[in-house]
Amino acid sequence: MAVTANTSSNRLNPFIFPSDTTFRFVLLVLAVLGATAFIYGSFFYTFNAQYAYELMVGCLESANTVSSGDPQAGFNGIGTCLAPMNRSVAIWTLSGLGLVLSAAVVLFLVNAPLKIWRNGYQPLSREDAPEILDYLDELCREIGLVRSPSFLVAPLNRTIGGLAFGGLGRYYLVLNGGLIACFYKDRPVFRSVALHELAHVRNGDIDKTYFAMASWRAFVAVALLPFSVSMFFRPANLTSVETDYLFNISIRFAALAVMVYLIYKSVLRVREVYADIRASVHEGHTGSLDRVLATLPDSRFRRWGFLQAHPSPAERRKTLLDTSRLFGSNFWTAFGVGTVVMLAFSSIYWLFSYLTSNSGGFLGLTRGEIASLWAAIILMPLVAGFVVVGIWRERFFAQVAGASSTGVSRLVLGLTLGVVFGQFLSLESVLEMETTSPVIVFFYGILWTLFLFVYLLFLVQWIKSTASAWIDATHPHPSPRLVVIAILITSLVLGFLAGPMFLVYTMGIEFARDGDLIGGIGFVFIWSFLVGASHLHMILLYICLWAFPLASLLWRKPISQETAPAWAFLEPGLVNPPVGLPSAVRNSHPIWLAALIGLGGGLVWCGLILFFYIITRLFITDLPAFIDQQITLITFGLFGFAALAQVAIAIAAAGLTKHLRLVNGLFSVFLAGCMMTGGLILVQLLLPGARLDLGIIWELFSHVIGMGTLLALPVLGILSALAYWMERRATSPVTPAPVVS
Amino acid sequence: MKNSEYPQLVTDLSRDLVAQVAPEELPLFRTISEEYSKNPARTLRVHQGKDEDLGFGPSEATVLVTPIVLDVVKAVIKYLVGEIKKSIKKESPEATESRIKLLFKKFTISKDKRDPKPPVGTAPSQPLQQSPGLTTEQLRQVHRLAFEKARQLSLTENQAGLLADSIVGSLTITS
Repeated sequence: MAVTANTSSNRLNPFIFPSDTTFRFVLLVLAVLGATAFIYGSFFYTFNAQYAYELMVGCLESANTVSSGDPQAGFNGIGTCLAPMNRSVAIWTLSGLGLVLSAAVVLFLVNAPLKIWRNGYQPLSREDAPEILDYLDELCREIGLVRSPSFLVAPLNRTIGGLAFGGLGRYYLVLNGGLIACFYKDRPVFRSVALHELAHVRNGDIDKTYFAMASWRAFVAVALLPFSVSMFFRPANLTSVETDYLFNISIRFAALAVMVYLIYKSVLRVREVYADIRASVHEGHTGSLDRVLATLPDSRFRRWGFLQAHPSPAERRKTLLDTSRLFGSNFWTAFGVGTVVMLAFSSIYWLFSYLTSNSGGFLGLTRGEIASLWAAIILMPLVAGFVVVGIWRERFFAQVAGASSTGVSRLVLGLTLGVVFGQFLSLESVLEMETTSPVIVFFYGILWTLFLFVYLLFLVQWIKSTASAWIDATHPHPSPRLVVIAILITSLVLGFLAGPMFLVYTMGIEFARDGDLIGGIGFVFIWSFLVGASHLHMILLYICLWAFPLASLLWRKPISQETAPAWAFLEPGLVNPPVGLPSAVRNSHPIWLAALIGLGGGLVWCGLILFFYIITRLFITDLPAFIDQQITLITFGLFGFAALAQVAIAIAAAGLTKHLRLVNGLFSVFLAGCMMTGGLILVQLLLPGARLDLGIIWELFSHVIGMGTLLALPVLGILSALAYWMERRATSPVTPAPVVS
Repeated sequence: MKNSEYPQLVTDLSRDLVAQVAPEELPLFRTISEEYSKNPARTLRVHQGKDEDLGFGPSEATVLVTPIVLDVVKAVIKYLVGEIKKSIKKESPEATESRIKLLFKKFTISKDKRDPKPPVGTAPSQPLQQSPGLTTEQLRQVHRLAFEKARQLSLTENQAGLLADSIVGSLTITS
């Protein structure tokens, strides 16, 4: 089927959002770095096995002697004792990363001259082909290139194709002999293929592609081969512990190598789709690109398509016809993101910890917290970029194309399983297996996975709500840049949320390693609700969770015309279809209802607390003494009661508002928390001899808001997902099929 | 391997033939003929490139006529050299090249119109219009040779026939 039919139906514009090529490229680089860190870290232990073993045993013994029953002292003692070895591991790892990066940069820089020399490409001279050169310059102008690439010819290559390559602003376009011959024989085909290659330059994917290729080759040369060789030179008489270690390392190594290769191939595949679409916009209504794609052999793609550098011609033609295929979420990409991010997270965290093992905390944060925060801040833009863009695309498709909302369960599931797999692949997991109780660790892992799933479910639902609010608010304004701002803000949110999560996991597993599952879970709970939840940055984050989406109301303007914006489509000249959401829904933002529920609920809670206070005063004569005796119970009771009440208020707000349930729920939790803090301050003032200062007010405020919000997050996430599921059952959604990965 | 006895002659004649049978390949002619003069066997091999993975897509190779024309013309010239040497045992290569040129209209009638001087190496007393030319049998032989060579190099029957006809059409016949 020709694209002409398609263009008349007005295709959605995928270039509004950052392309998947960028994400997959970043993913590849991170995967290469994460895998390299794994391999070079393992090199240290492989080549210094005896030293590492003796040091660990010695440190454990001395820590037991010194600590005399104080676990914290013992923990600190082991850390100090192992510091020299940890620094050595960090140096080995950093050296490996430096080697791979240097090799990748060198390979990237020599790629273009080497390619020209090796393939015998020759300049397409004006003397030989003046008409073709003029035509190509015209195509460059049409597609929006400021500077034309250098045109080369592969005279003996008989295929009707071309190749764009180069880097750092100097690009080349090779025209095969078969394509040159098409210039006079079949001009539309020549135009389509040339436009496709120029589209690679225009889409900015040349540097990414060739750096991805250089990274893969550098990884093979500097990490993969040395590791493989090292596996063959082993002493014959290994102990069972050493054999287990090598087996565990080898399995992970193989999985990492396969993963890096698959991501590399996926970078190559996805860029072709975007180049096809860009070319189709400029080729005119000839349908010749579709015609050329139809001539490409399809047989080699029927199996092992994920190993190919191109999507199958059939897939390319389908996506050319229906660009909404680029607006769906993809499980495997989500899985890859989860895996790579967790792997890299682990490497960065440990590297940072190893390198700063002698330093203290900062601004009230421990060394571990700072390390996890750094790792999160470095990596979260990728996760945020992927999740935000994925969900924004899906929302965009739902709202602009008039389709019902589609699910994001694939995305959440992919991310969760990816994170678990990434944790399994990390070098630390190998080392943990040497010393832990595997069954307890396994159960801890399962519980943590469930926790992670619910947590991610909330985050994804939140991003979905935010996307809905902002896409709706900016509807009359052509402002795709908003996506970038959203990614930045969401990166910060995810960074501050994910950092503590990893820390909680890492510290909780210490209990699990000692066979104390309850202790591990208890630690996660206590740390999350009493320590992590009430930090200043967490409170700011919780405010951001409702303030950012609700800020879209300030941009909202009355809808005067029920048509989608021109920038939403590839062919804006055609009549834009009506937007999907009915104006009644689009204009209803019951923020006042959420505010009312939050304030009202908070007020009721204050009334109850005052009532309890009065009852207590009536029945207990020596109240200060009673409070001194029961301080823990009272503190936990009050905060726990406040948190549970906030959850109930959140459920009420989310249930009673039909739109942006999750955001409204969070907003009501915050307002209720403010009211509750006021109630607690009042009670504090009423207590005989009690003091009140700003420190106490902050403690009350931060714990009420922190604990309430943290408890409400998973509940609201599940509630939103359920509400969506029920709404979806009532309608039949038009789901964008995911494009080939 | 000796690429060609008269490379410039092969190139000149081939360019005209490519212009007739595959004019769309003229922009490629210079580069392909240069490649051919360096390594004919490599030029005739089917190339799909080492970078197809990063190119447009793994498409089927088409047939480029230019390398085939070059090779067919080389074979024809080799045949003509043999025919000339049958009649004249000892002659310089330049003189032989001039005699071969006389067999092609390109170097006789058309050139005569611009410059009445005879080609180098020909007897001044011999009028150009009375160039030796080929017999009908020799022409038939050239046709068969060109056709078979072209077919051997994967041209279709129609294309091979057209090329052979063009070559024969470019030759002079005994008056």
